[in-house]
Amino acid sequence: MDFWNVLEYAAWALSAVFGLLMLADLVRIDTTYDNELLTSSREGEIEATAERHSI
Amino acid sequence: MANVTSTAPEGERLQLLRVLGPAHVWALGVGIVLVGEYMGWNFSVGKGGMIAGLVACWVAGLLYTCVAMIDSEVTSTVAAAGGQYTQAKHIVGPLMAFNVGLYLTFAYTMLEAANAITAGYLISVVATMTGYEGALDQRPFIILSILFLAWLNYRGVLATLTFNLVITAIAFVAIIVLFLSTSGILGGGIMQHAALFEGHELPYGWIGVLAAMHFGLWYYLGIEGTCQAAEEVRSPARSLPYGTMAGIMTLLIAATILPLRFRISSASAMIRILGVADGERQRSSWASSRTSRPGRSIATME
Repeated sequence: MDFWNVLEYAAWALSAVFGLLMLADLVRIDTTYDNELLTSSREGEIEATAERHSI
Repeated sequence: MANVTSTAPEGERLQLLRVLGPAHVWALGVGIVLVGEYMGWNFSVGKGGMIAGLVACWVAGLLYTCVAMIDSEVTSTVAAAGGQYTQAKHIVGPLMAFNVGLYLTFAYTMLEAANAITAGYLISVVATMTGYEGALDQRPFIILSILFLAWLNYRGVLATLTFNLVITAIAFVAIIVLFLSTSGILGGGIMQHAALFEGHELPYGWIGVLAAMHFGLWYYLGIEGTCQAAEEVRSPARSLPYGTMAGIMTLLIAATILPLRFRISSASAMIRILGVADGERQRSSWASSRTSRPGRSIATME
């Protein structure tokens, strides 16, 4: 088999590995942590300050 | 994340880690742009000739220096992730933020796809150059590029931008090596830049300058991306202006050195185009004036 054909298969295999790694991590994070925690971030300190501010 | 408890204590929120320094900001800005330094000249000179490419480089350089200054100034006070999206949100309002966010998403999605396709194409060119017969399937390399970049981003901003710092430094050194090896400073020059001035300095007239302008933006397009990392930078008020301005200076140098050889001759060609008689009159009046610096510099350039 030609060197470049080997590279093609290697690229397919690596792509699958990266994709599966991300999928596995997605499932792990989703089952380990609360949705409340995962969606708790705010855009910057300004928004957090605005939320804490009361007139 | 692994050691964090599964439920948030009262009032605790997830937040971004402040891990980046000015060098990462520099690499982010320059890394987005640098491919334009290779490609921009080809297209802008093709559209309007050498002088049009040069004018586009100068005008776009002025514009983007202003963009870099405004962005770094505004973002260091609105230090939140999202760059122009956050600026629009805090300065104009949610609808403008939606528009800007949408444009940014489109821009970077298309940019990544275009870069991945270019990477696949370049690999197939290398395969052909090394004697591979037939057409190499580019798809695995395109998909690998996208998945690798996605995984790198998934790993976190520090891993991504440290990797980016290394490849940006390599690409910038490559530009300098390209300049030195083709300009005749090291070894014989292979470029025939002088031929660009033999009767076709402005092949399409001054309208060619307009045509060249949108490729002229390639030399700097993307430097504004530095402010997207505002929330992850350790000291935004210092690092963002520092990294961004260092970035625009790097790009100005890179955009300047590639055509440096014909820069000097283009100045004289421009004077010729603007009118030989007028130029002669100005030059003689400048030369007669002891205090006139422009006259002296143009005479030196010629």
